[in-house]
Amino acid sequence: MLEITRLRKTYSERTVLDIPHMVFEKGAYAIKGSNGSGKTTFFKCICGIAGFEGDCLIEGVSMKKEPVAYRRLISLAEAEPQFPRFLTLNDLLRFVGKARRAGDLQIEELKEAFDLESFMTQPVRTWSSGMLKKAALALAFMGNPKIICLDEPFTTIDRPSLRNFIELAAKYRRQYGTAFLISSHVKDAHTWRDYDAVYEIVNANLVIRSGQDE
Amino acid sequence: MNSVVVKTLSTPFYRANAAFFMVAIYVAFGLMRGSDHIAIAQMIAVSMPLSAFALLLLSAYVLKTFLFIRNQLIHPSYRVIREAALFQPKEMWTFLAVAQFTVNLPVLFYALFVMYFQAAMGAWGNFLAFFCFIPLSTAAPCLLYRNLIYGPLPEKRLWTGRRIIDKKFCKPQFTWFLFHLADNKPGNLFLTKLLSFASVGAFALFHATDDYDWRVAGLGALFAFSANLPLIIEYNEFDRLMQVFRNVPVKAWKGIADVAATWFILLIPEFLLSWRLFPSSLPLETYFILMGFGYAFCLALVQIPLLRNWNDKALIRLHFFTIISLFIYILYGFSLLLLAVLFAIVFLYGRIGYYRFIVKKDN
Repeated sequence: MLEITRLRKTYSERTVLDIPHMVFEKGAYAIKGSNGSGKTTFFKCICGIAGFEGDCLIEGVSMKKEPVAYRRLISLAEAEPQFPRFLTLNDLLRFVGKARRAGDLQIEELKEAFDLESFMTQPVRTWSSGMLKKAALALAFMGNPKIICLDEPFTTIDRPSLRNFIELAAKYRRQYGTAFLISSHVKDAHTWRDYDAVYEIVNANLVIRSGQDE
Repeated sequence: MNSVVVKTLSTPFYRANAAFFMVAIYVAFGLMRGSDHIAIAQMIAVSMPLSAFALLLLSAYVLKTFLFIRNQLIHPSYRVIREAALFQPKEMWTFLAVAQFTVNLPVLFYALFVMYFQAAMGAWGNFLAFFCFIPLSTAAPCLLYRNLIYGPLPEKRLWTGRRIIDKKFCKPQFTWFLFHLADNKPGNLFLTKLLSFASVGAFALFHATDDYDWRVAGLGALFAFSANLPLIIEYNEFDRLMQVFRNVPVKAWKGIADVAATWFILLIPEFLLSWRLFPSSLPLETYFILMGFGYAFCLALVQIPLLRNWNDKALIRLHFFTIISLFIYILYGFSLLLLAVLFAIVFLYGRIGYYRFIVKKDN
């Protein structure tokens, strides 16, 4: 599904990522690593936000050759999301929904899952950090992405939303075959048990650690 | 979709440049008469060099709008706007064109105004140049935005010298703000010093033609140090960022010394230029009083937001009224030394208050 070839990312003289070849099939994968190991950079690279040497392909669509088609197939919810302060959630959902071709039904489903209804007309500047996180998660599910990257998704949000989010992710996996790449420091075994594999970023490379999160 | 474009890209541009537009409107519709505008437009219409110069000015404005929107698009808060790349091509182009068109409106209107006279006076060569400018001023930036939202975000790279400093030295606290400025607002620093130098130079010219008492030099110092207001506002913002270190057990005198050292370094260019251009007809002690006044004035303004919880608008009003009051104060010839001492007290009182919590902890 996602094929990474010769991905190399450097900051100044420091090599943060150097992944010769890696393939992620359908499923859910945990990306572990110590602070500063490059998890967020990895997500930014494979989602087309940060530049890098090499290429990524999703179902044969190359990021370098067909950036728009590629980006439609992958989405990212950042660990500390930021949005323009004067937009409302309504603006954001409509804008991203149109870009990612999400139907009204899906928008309604996401609003319900993340309990967003009461914030629809509130500008971003009035939101709490939990609200920002829920909005970022909802936006990541919009459209029909084949891969959803979630950077620290279990922090900040409240328990009911967390439960709904996990149910939603399970539904997307089951119904649409969506793959999930998740980085987390939280001991999330009680919330998310079924990783297909756990990877760790060690010395700038992705190394498989186990077939099931311990 | 257009409401999102306007909210995220166009409105912030006009908001950020409100002062510029207010001055422009005042000059264009307050100071100048309609017949003046027509005369200028007619001159531009028939003269090729003037037409070229006018186009250069209009292009400079378009460049400014381009840099503004570009910065918006690469800002982390605006990353969501990159999703516009996923629209249908026609919608994406409309999205970008609306953004650029709405910020270009003032120059487009002016170009049309000049084109009217070019057509009326048969200056068809100049007319063609302006005619091409209109679509180009929207299309060219849009092409560049498209590359920006399609591809990865450009990365900010530190210059080599800065990387060496980071590697070899532990930066003392009084230099933090200087690095903050160099990294984030080098343009502010440059513009501030440029205005400040221009003030010192302009007031020095008075003394070149005649002898005046200290008040002219005093006004020069007031204007030169007031030009540092953008840096003062930036320092207030920086102080907010540094709140996280407020509970670090640092003695109050150390904190005061750090702020004083930072501002001394920042004002060295003014001290040196004023020394170089200081009129020989004035006693040397006046130089030290003026510089002491300017230094204390900046330190006091840095401190004022910490004395009371001012909002941004109230703070700008306060700066404005302070400068006007000082202007009048100097014209009356009251003592600047007294004022310098007063400002120094405001600074010390405020800073000690700022570190009071820490001083108590130390005791």
